[in-house]
Amino acid sequence: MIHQLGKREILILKHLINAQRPLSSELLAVILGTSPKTVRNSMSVVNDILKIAGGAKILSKTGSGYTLEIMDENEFRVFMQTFNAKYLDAYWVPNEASERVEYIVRRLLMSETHLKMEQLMEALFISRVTLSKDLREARRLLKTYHLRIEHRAKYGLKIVGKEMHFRVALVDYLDADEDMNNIDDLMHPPLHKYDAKLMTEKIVKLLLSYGVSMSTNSLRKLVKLVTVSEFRRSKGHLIILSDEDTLNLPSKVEYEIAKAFYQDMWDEIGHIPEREIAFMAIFIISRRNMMKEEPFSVLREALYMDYSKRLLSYLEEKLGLPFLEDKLEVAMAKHLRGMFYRLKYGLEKRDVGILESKGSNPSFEYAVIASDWISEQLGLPVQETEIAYLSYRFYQFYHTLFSNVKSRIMIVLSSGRNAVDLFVEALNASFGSYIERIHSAEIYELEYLDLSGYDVIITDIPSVQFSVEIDVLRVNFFFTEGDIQRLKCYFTNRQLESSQFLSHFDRKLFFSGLKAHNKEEVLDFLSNALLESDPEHDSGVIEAIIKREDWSSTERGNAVALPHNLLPADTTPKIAICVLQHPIIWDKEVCQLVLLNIASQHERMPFQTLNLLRVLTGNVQRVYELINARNFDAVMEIMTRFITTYEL
Amino acid sequence: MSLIHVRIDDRLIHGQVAMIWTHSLGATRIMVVDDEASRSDLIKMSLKLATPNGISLSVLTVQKAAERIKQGVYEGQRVLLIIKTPGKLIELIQQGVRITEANLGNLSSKPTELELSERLSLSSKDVADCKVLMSKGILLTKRLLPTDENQAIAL
Repeated sequence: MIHQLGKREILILKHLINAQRPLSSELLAVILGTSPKTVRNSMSVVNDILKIAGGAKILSKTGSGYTLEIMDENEFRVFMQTFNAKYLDAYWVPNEASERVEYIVRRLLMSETHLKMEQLMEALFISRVTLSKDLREARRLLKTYHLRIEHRAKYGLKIVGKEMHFRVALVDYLDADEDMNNIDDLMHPPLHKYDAKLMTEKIVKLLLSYGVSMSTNSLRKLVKLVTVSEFRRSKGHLIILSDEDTLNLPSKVEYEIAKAFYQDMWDEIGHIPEREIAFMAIFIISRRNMMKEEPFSVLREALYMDYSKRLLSYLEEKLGLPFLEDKLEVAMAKHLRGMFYRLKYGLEKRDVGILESKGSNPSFEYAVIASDWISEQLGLPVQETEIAYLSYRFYQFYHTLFSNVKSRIMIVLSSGRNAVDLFVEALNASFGSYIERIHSAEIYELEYLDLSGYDVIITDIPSVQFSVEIDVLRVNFFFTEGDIQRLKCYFTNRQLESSQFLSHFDRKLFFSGLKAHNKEEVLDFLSNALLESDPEHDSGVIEAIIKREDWSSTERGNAVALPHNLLPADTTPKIAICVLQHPIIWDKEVCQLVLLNIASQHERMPFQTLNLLRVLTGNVQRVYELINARNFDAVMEIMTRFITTYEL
Repeated sequence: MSLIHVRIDDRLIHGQVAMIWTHSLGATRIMVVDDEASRSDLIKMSLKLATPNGISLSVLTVQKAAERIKQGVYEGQRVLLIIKTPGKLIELIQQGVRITEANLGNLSSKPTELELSERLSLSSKDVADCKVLMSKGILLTKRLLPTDENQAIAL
């Protein structure tokens, strides 16, 4: 069996790549929820692999920690490309024994009859206990394909589910890796009846001529799906679709593509069942990327435009942000078209960075709330990958909004108005998007002017010379590095209201050394603490926190979870801090630091505090410091340092 | 025919081969034929990491590879075969695998008898083995990129 890189090794590599300074084994141990010794062992595996395949090696410096040294730039770049494509995030990688689980899933998928547990135990040289553990992981994996393992006494194990889902799962498990230890009878020749390159070329030509696009990854899966479909058909497994399913399909361009492809490929074979064409069409719809500039018939796609409008007005109402704008409406309708097909037929996307989105996409929350609405409308569950994928749609929107707090600036220069033009130009070049208007004055004029229409005075005169009500920011006429930094901080803080961020913490809501075994216990404990500390927090907020957790677990990687309420509540924002005595598995990821946030309607932007916590915990060094902080004051020192040096 | 390309390369799968060749050949599987690699978990793991996403990997001994290929297990797949030296390729052929063409990728044999290019240093054994391969009617090339002209090397 070819061993895959384990989750720990993948994460170590990711942390090393992102590290701005050396990472100690103690720090990594905390972040990965393991011991320094285990980290050192994994590190040596990663180092060996990098040397063989990555054009890089790991340097270990006593006293500071590990860093990555790149020896061959080209080789490393190609290696990283493959690495990132495979492990967009480590979310899908089981915590243990991924290759065994993969073998089991594959073997069960390929089997036409029940498989005895003993057969699997023998093939893998494992005990019944180990097999049970692996089966649990396999079940979990298969569930994301809408398949389950049936266990019948005397017969054994068999996967059951819809044919469509068998095929989609088989696409991912079709071609096994093999080495001397696992050459097996799994490869049923002739599984591949048709040449992959030929099929790819035909499909690409059709996609281009119909102006339909999909990712390379989806294209590869589509080609494999054709192979799998033929294989399954040859074994007598047929796709079942209702009349309602196929009613509108023939009018769609994706159906034309599927039809043209099958006609071209199988002229000699003759009849291809209608439902095979329909299935391929559905798959193309579910994987198609509708680009921003791509035409979209508002009339033909009225259904999705309608859903899009209703969804956005729901968000607008709940979050008080201007979601209803033409561009977003169309982009959302395009997204919903594919998404509805994926949800309806259980063809959810998998190649989406879930942890990445949870950890760094500030618009992730919009997607969670939107999914809650969509799920209710369609009466269908929404998987986390779909939430993460949907969150991409809101990203642009978020960024336009985020820079919406613009400043009104008064400039006062020691050399007088003469020199203002150059100064304004420099200011605009770097911070134009944060500036509403700029005026200038001589210092002696100030006491006669009404400054209430201004937010700040920017000047090269020492600030003691000013006696005004508004902020005064002193910089040099020619900006130094430090000046740029100061200006950056000023404009950022205008967005963030940093003093408010610090006021959300509460000495009474700091807990260290909590013993808990799972996230339910942690959430129970924190809910009680919240209710005790402030009767204002009614149980509604707690319910909203649980509901949010059910939609998508709030682990964000780096041993951190950020539980919070689904919709901002009419209450003051709060942050409770809980450092667990021992790391736990929150949902799929390790967690030792829990920052529970009550999101409030009174924040300048919905989920602003939560997003700051996201950024805060994106830095492993800070997480490490927080987990090791002795008391509340030490925590606040870290928080203060974070917020005052926050950069845009 | 499932073997779409044979590459002699003592670096096995590395950056360039993996990306450029796999893509342009439309390979669906990379087969590394190497006794040492097939015994080492670490090398196999590294090879797997270097294999592009969605491409399957086989790491087999010469004997096992020959067996599997002859059984027709890979029919319909597009296999890119990588083997370390011309000598090993001869072994594979002796086991009954039919090959018509092989491309020399990287060889850094010492002591070097013949330097065909910056990345191709052949020992006297390599040269002899290449001659054997050529005498069996196998076209030996030294294309760096798939788009390069497919010209036979002269020894």
